[in-house]
Amino acid sequence: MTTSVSPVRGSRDASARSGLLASRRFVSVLGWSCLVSMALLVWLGLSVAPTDAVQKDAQRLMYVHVPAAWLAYLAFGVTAACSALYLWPRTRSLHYDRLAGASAEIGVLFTALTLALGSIWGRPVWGTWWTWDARLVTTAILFFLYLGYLALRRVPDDPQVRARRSAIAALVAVVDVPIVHFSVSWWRTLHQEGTVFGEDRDAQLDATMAWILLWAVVTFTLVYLFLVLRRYDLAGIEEAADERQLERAIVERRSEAASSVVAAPEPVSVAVGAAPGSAP
Amino acid sequence: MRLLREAAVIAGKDLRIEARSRVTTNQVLPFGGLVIVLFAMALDADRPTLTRVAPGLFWVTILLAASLAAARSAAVEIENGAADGLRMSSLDGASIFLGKAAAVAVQLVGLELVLGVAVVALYDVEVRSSPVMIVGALCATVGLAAAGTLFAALASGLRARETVLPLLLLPVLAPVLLGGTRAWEAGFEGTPSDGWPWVQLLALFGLVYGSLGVLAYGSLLEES
Amino acid sequence: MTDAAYVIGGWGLTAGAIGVYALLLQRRLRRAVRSLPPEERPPWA
Repeated sequence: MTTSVSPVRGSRDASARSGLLASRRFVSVLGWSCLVSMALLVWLGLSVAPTDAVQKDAQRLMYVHVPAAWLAYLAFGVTAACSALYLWPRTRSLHYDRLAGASAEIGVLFTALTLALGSIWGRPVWGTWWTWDARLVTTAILFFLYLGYLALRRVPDDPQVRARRSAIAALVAVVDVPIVHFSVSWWRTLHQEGTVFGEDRDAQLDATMAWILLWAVVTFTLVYLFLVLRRYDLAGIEEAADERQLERAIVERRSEAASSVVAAPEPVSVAVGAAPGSAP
Repeated sequence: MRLLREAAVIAGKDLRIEARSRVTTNQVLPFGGLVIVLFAMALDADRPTLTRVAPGLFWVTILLAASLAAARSAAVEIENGAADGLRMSSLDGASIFLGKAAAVAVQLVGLELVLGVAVVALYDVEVRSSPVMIVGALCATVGLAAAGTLFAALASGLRARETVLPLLLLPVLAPVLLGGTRAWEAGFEGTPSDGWPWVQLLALFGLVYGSLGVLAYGSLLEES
Repeated sequence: MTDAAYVIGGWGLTAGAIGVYALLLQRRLRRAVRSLPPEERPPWA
């Protein structure tokens, strides 16, 4: 393989790009501890935890709903932090961009899960799948915000350009979250007498329940770490693979041009089909 | 002051392009009118219902029109490699942003004026207090134009920009929809004093997105 | 439906979502690694 052609699309050394955050050993230990911890959580949440006096068994959904929501916020927080680190010139690196994208994808997954679990919990407790409560509406908007962010990321473009666009979009989205929350809660309090669920919902938690909830949060955080590391590795490898393919195409093209005497050698950039049609 | 002078040049350029191409007047405005008619058809032209939801329908229409106008404002720079000209013009990113946002805002004010009159006439609403509506609409316009210009620049040049832009922009604009609707409800039927807090929210939104655009627009220009 | 059905459904959905996502990641990872020449594959592949 010639290495001299690699500067297409501003690439670095391919092996450095797929650089891993964590060793293989760490990831597999993490994976197994996720499984063990989840199994333990199932036992704790479904059998050890005392039955709630008011909500009866339905309350057991708390042990997955609350940590899922926590995870969504954690993931979007990591996305925002990584985006800021990418935009900061001294820490600019595609590693942060990949981490931001990986984290946002997991955040969207868990936001969707939070909404679905909230619905499933709401049905037996409030008698309805959905209510226009401030927290619910904010979460739904959050879901669409980051869905848009992921759509922006998925459009193929030069990695550095895409990284900058995505980072700006992520920061703008983060700024929007408090405004949305503020406006929505204002809307609901002005137009509705009290919410469906009173604030006493999380007033007193039994000590056992609180510990199990803490365990659930720890478990979900471990799951997040595992998933985000895997997703990050995948992003790096896919970028490296894309680049390999591009280089191979260029080499082929060059040998074609060299073998045919008649045709004048075409400029390399014509062969770069992967570049977006947008280049001005 | 150089900032504002440069911004005025850019805004003048965009408005001149609009005056010659007439995309907003001949395409976006009819689209908005059509949406208003379609809403009435969907709600079966039931007057009490239409009257009650008129502010919300109006602002949904404006949101859709704003996303089109913003997309157009970014598309203007892609044609004929105009963005390269901007990049080489040594104009500051902040002033380009302010100019482009101002041009979008001027067009939006025109749209709101025409569509607002259409809503009042077609949906049979009575205007009780116009100050809260006018100030609210102006503040909302600033936010719409700022956020729209910023996101259209983010999505511009992408292959799937037509579909990515609304998905990115509309959730961000949700507070504008809420604020604008409540402010207009207060002006139509309710007590005007209920609307002013929402006007403040709209002003805050405009301020936040205006500042974000001023900070971020430059780096979007220099790419590629 | 009883409360228990909702609880089982919710927990099942959670486990399913995490599991399916993890498996999909695994599959995409394996496929991406296979498309790299052997000398460039990460050490754990």
